[in-house]
Amino acid sequence: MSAPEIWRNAKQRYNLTGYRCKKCGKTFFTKRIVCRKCKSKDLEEVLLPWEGAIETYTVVRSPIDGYETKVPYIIGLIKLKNGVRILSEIVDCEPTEIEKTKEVELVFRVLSKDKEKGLITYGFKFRPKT
Amino acid sequence: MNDGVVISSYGLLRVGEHWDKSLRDLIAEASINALEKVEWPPVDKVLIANAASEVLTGQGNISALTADQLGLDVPSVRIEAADASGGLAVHEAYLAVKSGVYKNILVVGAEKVSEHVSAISVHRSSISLDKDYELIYGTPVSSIYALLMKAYMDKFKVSREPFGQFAVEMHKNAVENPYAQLRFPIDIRSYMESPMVSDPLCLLDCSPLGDGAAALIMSSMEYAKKFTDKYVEVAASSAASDALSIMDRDSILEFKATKIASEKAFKIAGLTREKVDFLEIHDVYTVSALITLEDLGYAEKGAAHKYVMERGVSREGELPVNPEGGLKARGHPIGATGIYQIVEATMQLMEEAGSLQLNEPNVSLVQSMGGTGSTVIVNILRKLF
Amino acid sequence: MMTKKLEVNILGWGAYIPIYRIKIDEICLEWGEDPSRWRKSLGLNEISVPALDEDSTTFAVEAARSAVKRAQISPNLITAIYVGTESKPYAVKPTATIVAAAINASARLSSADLEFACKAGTEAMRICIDHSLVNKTVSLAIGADSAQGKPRDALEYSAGAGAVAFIFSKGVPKHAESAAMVLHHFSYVTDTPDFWRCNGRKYPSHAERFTGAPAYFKHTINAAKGLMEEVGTRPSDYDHVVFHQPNGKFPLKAAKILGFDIKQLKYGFLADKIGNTYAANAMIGLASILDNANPGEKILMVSYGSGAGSDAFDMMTREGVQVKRELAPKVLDLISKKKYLTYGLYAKHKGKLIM
Repeated sequence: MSAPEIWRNAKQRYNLTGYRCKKCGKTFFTKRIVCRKCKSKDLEEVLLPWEGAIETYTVVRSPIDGYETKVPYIIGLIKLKNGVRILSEIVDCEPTEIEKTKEVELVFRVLSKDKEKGLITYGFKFRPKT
Repeated sequence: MNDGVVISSYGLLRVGEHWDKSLRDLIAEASINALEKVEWPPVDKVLIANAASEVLTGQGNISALTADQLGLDVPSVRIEAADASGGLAVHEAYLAVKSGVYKNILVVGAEKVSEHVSAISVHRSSISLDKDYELIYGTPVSSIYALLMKAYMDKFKVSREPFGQFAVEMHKNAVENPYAQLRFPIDIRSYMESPMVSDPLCLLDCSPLGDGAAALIMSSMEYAKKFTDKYVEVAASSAASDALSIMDRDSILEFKATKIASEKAFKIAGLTREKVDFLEIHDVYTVSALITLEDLGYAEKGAAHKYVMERGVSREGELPVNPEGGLKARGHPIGATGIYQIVEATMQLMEEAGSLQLNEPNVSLVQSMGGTGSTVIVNILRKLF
Repeated sequence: MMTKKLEVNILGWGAYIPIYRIKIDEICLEWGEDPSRWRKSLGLNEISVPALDEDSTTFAVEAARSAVKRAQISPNLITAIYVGTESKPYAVKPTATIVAAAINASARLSSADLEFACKAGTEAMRICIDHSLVNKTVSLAIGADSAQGKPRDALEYSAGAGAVAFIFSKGVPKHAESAAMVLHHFSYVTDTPDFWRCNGRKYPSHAERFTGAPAYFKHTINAAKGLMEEVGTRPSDYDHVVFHQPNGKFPLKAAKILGFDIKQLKYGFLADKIGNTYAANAMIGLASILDNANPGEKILMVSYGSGAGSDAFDMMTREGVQVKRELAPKVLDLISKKKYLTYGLYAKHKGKLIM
């Protein structure tokens, strides 16, 4: 991630904000200017719940470039408490423990480091609820 | 407006590691192959399908590169829709001919993926995902399909076996395909023992990335008659879109764009799905093939595993699927893949498929998918001679 | 001589300890050392280790979020954030601003990162306490470290990982409550090169036995004595005492020299379970005391940072301490939740593998 990208996305990545359509009530996690459902432009930024349940998961054993040291790592689709679906890494959890893990909560972690200049992208991940 | 849009020629290279060929060689060889078959008729437009030449090879502006390699001064357009680039290029060519503005278009798909070691190629080809919300977590495309596979297996209480059976059939088909990347058979045991890539998705669920190029000449029927008497009609070409990320889909167990595009295509072609003699579907991972069989309406929702195990997808069956081996075994040259599918369907309909030839097929449905279902093109081809 | 009381409130506190641990025995196995000798000489059993995607900044954020929960205030009220650490992920670029963004603090903020080896966290506390005192506002002090130890060095057996945050306020904002009150502080600092890390070096160095008498003990004891003299207290006046714990032995010896009873160390002594968490060290002990103490109890905390110096604090718990402790994870809960690593994974987690 470049410096402007990190700066632009920090609020959403640090605090898990999303976009709620004031007209139809649909809430999105991914950035929107117009509601995907009702096409209203009246969207507000909202804080999304920091807890949810794992909908499905996978254990990545063949990573992309730059994530080799983390293998094996767990990627999950998470249904937040308000029903919004997000993708995140599940940490502090071994592949052998993930099948019985359901409830998860937000943590603050390093997402990636720029290979050349070292710039760090911080943001949310999830861990089994404590 | 023009009535008939036809495919009047084709060309292709074997998918694999072409260490001695650059992107420009791949584009030129497949194009020349297609043009030479019909003795170089004048071409009035070029479409080049390619997913990621900028990050995979460092070369941009490949529309100009393509025209340049062929010594053409006609308009040249690059089409990019990730893995669906090829299918979308065919759709755009169809529209261009159908409009009556263009009469004879060269459509070439090419991808050069072997310039880098696999982790880099996999990373750079995974830019089809949402970089802000998916790729930042280190998600290769395989991991997203693994999420879908796990959800499918849990929801419909399915074992890995049907996925393995699909892979077995694809490998069987590819053994005699001279253009295939993986020309060896596998059995269900080797599938079960294959290493995990992203649980529960194993290595033999994956299509291999490979260098490749394939080309088509798409013409108005009237114009094609000037240089050939053997062509295949594009009876329908339809495309649809869905959310970029699976996060924003209502259901992760279907590809909505496939449903929309196929229903529309059947309507345009005036055909029912029973009239289709064989399918070409986007089996980038075995799970995408199973879900696609449901989305196209050949299997009930959640029943594709039964379809694969009971009705079967083999070349000898009622409805052959990917008789040349599909992405799974023929190989997956990303942006070129959609062109390979159309070329292979054309070869079948022209009865030029050699030892892979099906028994006098008349209609083929070809589904091309990009990203994790964000773009789908359904083309229906029909024999016309 | 009795100085004027500061009377600055602690509104909230929060600790963070990563879930990974390595046993001293496992490190000994790697280097062919005798585990019982090392456990005895260091007074440690196991140390905390960061996850692959954690650093002192992520620790600081977790601790700060817990502190905000306990403080029950809007982060908008915070006007100063100071972070003490010797393991900044960036040599240049503040951790404090990342913390501010992660807790949704306002931009009208006094903030910086501080370095004074293991004393940087309590120095952040001093600055924040004084900031709150002068400005009558709310401030956030953090000690956070993910310290490095050179392979086979004693520090490899003792450097832990963790963070802790405290929120101070001169008055008590509406709807908030005080957990404790800081009454006095006292610092004692000299130029003593017992432990250091040069610019550009990955691992710190230390002067072995020189880290003891002229360094740790001299500063710890002088700061403790200096504070008690100024305030007019004796060791027996304190219900709880916590010292910097570079290993499991120094704090016990310092307590004995000063005339404290082992019982007074009960809640604050944690080194044997998590190792030396550097800038967070004594402060995590204080957090643990607040997790357990009754209202109206007196606390003495004395930090130590190489280079060298000590900060001593005289504090008293208040009514709010009991309710607040339930609002975020307690230190002992964080300590008890753990997963053990092999030496190979330890080396990987600590970034010792060159890829």
